[in-house]
Amino acid sequence: MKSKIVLYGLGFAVLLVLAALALIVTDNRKSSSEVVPSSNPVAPVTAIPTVNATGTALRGTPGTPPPGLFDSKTTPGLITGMPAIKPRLNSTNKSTPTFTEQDVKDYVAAHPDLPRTKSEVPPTVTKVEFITYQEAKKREGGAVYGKGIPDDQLLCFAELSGNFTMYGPPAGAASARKMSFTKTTLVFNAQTGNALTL
Amino acid sequence: MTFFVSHSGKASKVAIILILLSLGLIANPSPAKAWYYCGTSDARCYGINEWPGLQHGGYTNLSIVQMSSTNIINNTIWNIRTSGRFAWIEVGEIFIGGELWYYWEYELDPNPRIGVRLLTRVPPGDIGQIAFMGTILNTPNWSFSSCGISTWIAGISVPSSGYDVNICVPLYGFSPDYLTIGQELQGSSDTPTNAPIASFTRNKYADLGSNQLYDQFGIAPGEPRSISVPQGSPPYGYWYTLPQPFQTSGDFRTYCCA
Repeated sequence: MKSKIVLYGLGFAVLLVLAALALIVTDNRKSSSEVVPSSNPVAPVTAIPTVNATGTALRGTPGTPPPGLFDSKTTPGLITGMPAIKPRLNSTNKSTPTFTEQDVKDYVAAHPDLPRTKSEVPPTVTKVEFITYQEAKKREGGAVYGKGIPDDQLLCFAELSGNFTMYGPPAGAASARKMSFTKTTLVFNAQTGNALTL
Repeated sequence: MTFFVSHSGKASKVAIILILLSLGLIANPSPAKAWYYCGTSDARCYGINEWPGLQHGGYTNLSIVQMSSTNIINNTIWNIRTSGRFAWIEVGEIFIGGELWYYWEYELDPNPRIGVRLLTRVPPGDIGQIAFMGTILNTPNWSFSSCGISTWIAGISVPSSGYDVNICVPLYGFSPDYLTIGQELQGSSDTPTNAPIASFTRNKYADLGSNQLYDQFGIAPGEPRSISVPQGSPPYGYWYTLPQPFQTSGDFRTYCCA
């Protein structure tokens, strides 16, 4: 029964399209375009506009984003992060860490709560890696901080294990969606100890 | 100004409407909906406006406000995909860890959590200023040089402070079906939080077919201008100025928590 209704619905849609096309062909044979003065600066109607319930076009004039919004020259070094692990080793360059794997474990043990994620049990650090941002970009598949971090900046990736849950934003009738997972990652600047993710 | 249109006969208009009605049976472009939601077990509440429909990103002009909370509060623009693998990308200002930051985040279920990515502290001079912020799919039409084609770009630009950042987001094949703006509050109703009125204007979306940016749709006839929020359950979101076709994309406002 359900499938019949769907078939009838689709058939009706096809018939409407065919009827509309027939009307367009007929109409185009009768006349050509005209220019109509309007107080609204809109582009020639060349595509099917988005409409509201009454058939009124709502989309308006196409535009471009503000200069720099998606194509800026991000200042190198702009991404500094929030103070987290206290540096305790001497380092004068970006490629040498100022803390150790144990420091990371101590930090996570002292700060087991992740701001937007719940963990049923305190998370444990299962892996710590020190890699450059250049390497991190390959791993993450993109320049996730743009030029805000120098390519040769050493970063610290800490993999955490636990029983985590977090909620995504709600959409439509659906409530915020719960996601469960057992691994997550924290990222630190290996020179300053600052957290780049929370 | 001139408006070019083939108005030589009513038949064309009727035809176009018929086509749109037909297509509407398959993919109905819905108007915006302002609403309030609160109810996740980790106590996140939202005063938001959402526009359903496939798009390739968008942006908003957000007035930056000095927020504070013993928990987390943010003014944000989200692109959300609800069909298939749930995923989203968001960019905005957030009060977290006792400080106000620009941030972005993306998550792809069931991948491990990525988390809030801090960009930079909001400079004091940005308070009260307008920040452009949003996300967009970098198509050949745009060809933004900051990131590769087919990647998503998250951007924040605050002309007043010269703060300008682009982030290349490796969300290949991401087709969001909701574009949402508004405020998110994490914490219970007695969480001390303050967020002055923030304004979301010039709300644009990147059209799927034409790869152009357009003003967001008007909200549906009869849709309430403000939303009913239970007492003691902020944050609040409302249309201060409704979107008007061909005129403005509205002024959506949020605040918390008095």
